[in-house]
Amino acid sequence: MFQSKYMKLLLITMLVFLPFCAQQSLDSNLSATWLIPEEEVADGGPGKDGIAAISNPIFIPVSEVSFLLENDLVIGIQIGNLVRAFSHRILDQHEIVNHTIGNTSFALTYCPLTGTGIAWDTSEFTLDKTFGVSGLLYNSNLIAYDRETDSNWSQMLNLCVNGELTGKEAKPIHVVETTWQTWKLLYPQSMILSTDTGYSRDYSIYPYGNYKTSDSLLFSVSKLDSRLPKKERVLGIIAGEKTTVYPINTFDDPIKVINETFNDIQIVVAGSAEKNFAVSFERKLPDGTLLSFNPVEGELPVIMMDNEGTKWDIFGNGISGPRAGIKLTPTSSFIAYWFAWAAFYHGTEIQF
Amino acid sequence: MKRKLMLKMAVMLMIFSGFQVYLNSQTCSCAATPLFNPLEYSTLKNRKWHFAIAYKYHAINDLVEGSKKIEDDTKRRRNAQALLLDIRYALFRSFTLRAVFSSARHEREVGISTALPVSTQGLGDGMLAIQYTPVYYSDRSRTEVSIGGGVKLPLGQSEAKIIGIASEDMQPGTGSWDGIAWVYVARLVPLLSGLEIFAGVSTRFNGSNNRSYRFGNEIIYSFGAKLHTKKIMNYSLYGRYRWASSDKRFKGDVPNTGGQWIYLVPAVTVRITRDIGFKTEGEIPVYRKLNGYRQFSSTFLISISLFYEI
Repeated sequence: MFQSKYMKLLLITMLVFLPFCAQQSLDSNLSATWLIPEEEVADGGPGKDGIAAISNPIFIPVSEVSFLLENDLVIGIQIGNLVRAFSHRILDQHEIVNHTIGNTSFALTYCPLTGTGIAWDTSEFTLDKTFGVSGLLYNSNLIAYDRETDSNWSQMLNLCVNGELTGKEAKPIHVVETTWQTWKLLYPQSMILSTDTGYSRDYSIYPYGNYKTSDSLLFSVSKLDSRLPKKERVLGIIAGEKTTVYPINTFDDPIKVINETFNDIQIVVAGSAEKNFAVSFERKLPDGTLLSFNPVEGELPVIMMDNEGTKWDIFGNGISGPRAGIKLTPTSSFIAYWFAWAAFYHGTEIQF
Repeated sequence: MKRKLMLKMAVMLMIFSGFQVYLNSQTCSCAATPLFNPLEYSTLKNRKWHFAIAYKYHAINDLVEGSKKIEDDTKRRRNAQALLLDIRYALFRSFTLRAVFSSARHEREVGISTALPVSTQGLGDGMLAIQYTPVYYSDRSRTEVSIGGGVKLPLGQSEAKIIGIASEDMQPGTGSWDGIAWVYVARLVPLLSGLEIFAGVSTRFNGSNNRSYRFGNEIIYSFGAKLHTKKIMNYSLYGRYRWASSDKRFKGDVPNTGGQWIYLVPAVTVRITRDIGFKTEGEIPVYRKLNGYRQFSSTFLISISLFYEI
């Protein structure tokens, strides 16, 4: 009698539990092939579009802005003669802003966990030129998805890593990152992304607690490199198979310019610790001329002058002198937290 | 005299455990693990078995900024469901052994996205515990005092995938060994037949899983009353205060986790026979003060359990 009662109970329990215990996960529309190790792709938590990209941005004049502090960082982009700025404060909560200037459509992507701001030219897409936040991370870094094919793109690899467009390289557009104080000196007449984003957010709050300043990470990365503090901001440069970084806080004030040859590519790197920026360009022009640069002080947006007497601005435009109107070719580079750069680009050289 | 001493000790333990957690602790507001909380602490008669199967549905749709519920413009929908098998056995009147097994399912949907809902499910964590009841109801005692402790076993699936590894709050199990302890005091109210008031405190000290993630430790205080009628239905209503510290990963705080909650918990127990019954329970948040910028937090939790005593 006792045993029979137990058998019934056990049977009922198993019947109730079994369907619930079956391991299962569902996902909608992902192809199985990844160019990155799938086991290192992490679900960040909010889910696809749980972080809402901005696709109808509104811009206001720099002079009307009151929501930024002097040391807040902004990302600037130049399309033709138009310059637009995007503050980290808004990007921290949206990660992607889709915008079109003239015939150029772009997605400005920003990953708050890796401190990386990269713009991609999306003009080639036909049906939908916008990107969204997939909710996935690789090495703690944003994986964006294009809304035309639903393919997934690794931000720091500038590469489609999953979906119909797997293997396709993104087309980066050169951006400049600096403090709000410096931006106002660089481009006082420019426009900046408004807090009127269409979403109810408090942009005065940094949503990641003490993440920017602490030594801890929120997601694991494939490899940690302890040569620099994890959250040190560096300008990373990719030259063929080799990579190198310039810690921004090692640039002398007001502006330091370094003429360098890295992996057989002649480059110039200009930066300022105080103004919190670093940019780099190729020194060799298409006509074969090799330029050498020196810093220029107090003439922002001009930051350097070459040995021929041309003055160049922070976006690499020749402003005055014999090569005025010409644009320097940006190197393949972007700013990132050191831990993230080191996780993506193992064995990178550090320039002090 | 002995009873008074026991009561004093229980109160001291409650206070002491509270301070311990304040010094060390932390929890996540929305993982499956809080589904373990509403456990039954009442005692069993000597050599009695108690089996319960409980289904819990936890809706986690409220977007909360501090104490204020705000509109979620991403239209996210999130729920956690669990089945718990709770087995208790009274070795003696004063010692009860307990084992809990679970399975869990998580669902998540972002309303503004074209993506389909995602879900994970699998075997959840388990718990082994022992409860000591030095003072229990008898002809001479209108008071009951219990002290319990145990371990939460990482039996559950903690590496469920959505694409790659699902986030920690979507895992059926936590993947960590945790310690659990509680103190429970109940007293039959004189002159009011069938009315029992009770208070309890429970704590959980969480370990880290193999991804260096540690859910925040927590402490829960409960206070309420049960009405035992002479008919088949019994009622209870109590308040529950929960404090959880932030989750940790790689020893750093995980932003937007942890906080304080006060819930109102009404429950109805129906005894179909002397040995079989079922209980329905709701949990409604009436106050919360959450850490960080914003958190998705509990909208409500409902629970239905069927129990059988031998």
